[in-house]
Amino acid sequence: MFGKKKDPNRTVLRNETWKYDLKHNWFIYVLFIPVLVYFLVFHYFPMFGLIMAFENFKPSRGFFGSQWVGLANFRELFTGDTFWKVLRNTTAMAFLNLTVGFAAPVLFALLLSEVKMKHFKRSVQIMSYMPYFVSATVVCSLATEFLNSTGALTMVLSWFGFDKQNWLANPNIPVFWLINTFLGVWQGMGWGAIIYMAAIANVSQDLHEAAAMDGASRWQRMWKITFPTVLPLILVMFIMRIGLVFRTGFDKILLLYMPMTYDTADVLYTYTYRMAFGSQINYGVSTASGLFQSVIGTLLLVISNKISRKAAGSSLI
Amino acid sequence: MKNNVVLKSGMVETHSRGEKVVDVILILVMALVAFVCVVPLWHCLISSISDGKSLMQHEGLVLLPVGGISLEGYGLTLRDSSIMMGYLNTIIYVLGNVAFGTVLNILAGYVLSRKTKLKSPLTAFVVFTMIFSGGTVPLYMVCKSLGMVGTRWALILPHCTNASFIIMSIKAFESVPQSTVEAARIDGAGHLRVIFQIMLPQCFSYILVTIVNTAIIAWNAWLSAAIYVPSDKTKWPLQLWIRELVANNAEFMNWSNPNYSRYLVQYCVIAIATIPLIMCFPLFIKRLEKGMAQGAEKG
Repeated sequence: MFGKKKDPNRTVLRNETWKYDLKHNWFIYVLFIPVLVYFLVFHYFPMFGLIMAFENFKPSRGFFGSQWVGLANFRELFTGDTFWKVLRNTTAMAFLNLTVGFAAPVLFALLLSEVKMKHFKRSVQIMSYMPYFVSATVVCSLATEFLNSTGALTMVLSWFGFDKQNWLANPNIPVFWLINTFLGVWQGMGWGAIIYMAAIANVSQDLHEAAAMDGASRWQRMWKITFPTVLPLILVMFIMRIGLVFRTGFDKILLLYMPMTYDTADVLYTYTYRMAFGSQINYGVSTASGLFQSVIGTLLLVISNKISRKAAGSSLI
Repeated sequence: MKNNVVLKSGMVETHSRGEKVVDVILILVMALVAFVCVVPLWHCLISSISDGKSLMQHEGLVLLPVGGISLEGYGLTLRDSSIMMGYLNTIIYVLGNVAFGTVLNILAGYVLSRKTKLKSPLTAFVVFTMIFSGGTVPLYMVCKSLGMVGTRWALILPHCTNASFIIMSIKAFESVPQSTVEAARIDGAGHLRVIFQIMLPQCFSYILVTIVNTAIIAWNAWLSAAIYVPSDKTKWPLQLWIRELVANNAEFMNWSNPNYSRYLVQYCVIAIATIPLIMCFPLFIKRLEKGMAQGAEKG
């Protein structure tokens, strides 16, 4: 249908003219139109919609009709008491996610790889995937049940001397942060370990045998051979994680927090949500806080990407 | 010399005995991890077939049915038309997201894997959405101005694909040997024929990873529904019903003359919402694992 009798060498178009490109590839561009429309409407229009952050936005007036207020929304955001608590909580939970949440799959993969019984190893791995397929609502309903005053986890904790209580209603400082981190680890550990398991399986068996011959114990081999071989991968994954840490992993908080624990559980994500869809609506401040989170997320992503490209030669984007 | 050997063999001996102990500890720890991963799900499943009244008074973990096996909870759940509507909605949303998302992924994957002059600007156009996003509220306003708020479209179109799925799809199309594509083009095959008859059969296992991921995300999604159809219960997916039932169960104790089997409905809905995914995942787990590992290799 489209000029197919051409010399196949001519499919390399790098040095071709625009005229040639349009003549021969116009249908390819036509195929892209749905994708273009999708990204314009659902990704680029909302970016443009961020001007709401600088407006006293009224849905009835739209993006163009609302009153322009400059930085007033940001002033309101940054001067409120809530914001600094929210920022502290976001940072704390992002940090825990980056340290504990990141280390768990690595450690799990290293340990599981040391198990010799093949079927047992595979069974544990399959079982560790299961939480990944469970929805956020189910995870949170399980958490609500296991952490209430008669729940199973509360009982386990009481063996270690903690009072029986509804842990999700505990407003003291690290409690909610740790619960959120634990839920993230529970859901993501097995799934996150896949990459490391694959990398560890690729570590040369010869090296291990030679080292064993020279009398290296299993733990020496693990720390001196396996770990260094997968270390570059671990570093790359870590840097990538830095780039995503301000954007993901907050959705469950919406299901778990309650007015009683707002002081320690509220994060930028939930604050943005509450200001837009809660009882006291202020679209301008909500968008301002969303924009703030977006900008920090973008900065982290761009910086971590640069580092990753320099240090390891690969990057997320 | 002799001393040395003894010492050495002695060392090897204790060493291996030590290793055996370590092995046992390792296996116990791993078994504990597996237990912690699975037991909450087991708890839900067994609770769903327990007796409602005994279950309410039960404390802690449920490993065996409490107060005898009863299927009353499932009876109530299956007869509850609004929950069944929720199930149907979930299926509609999954199919809708997969259908639209897959079409977009395939088109973008094909176009952006061709050597055209606009290849890099168009790729940048897609990838930029990964770096920066407008966020929930402006997206809501855009959907509102398109009249999508309150309709099923709001739960299908906005999140049916994203830049990372498109990147996966580009990689899939790039993995197809260029020679087969060129041969087909010379034989007179159009672009669509090349996509569907030449390229897709060769790279379908990669595309399947995006399909499965889209389906899982859509199946488990609840926030879009909470934002876009908050009060219209006929459009709620199953996940919103779970949230609702859990909230209701917290107030269960306050009712004067409760039907205790209602207490089971929460667990039954969790079971029917989770079991399909858990049952399906052995079917595609190998492919997903491969996809994950390859994604890491290519960075």
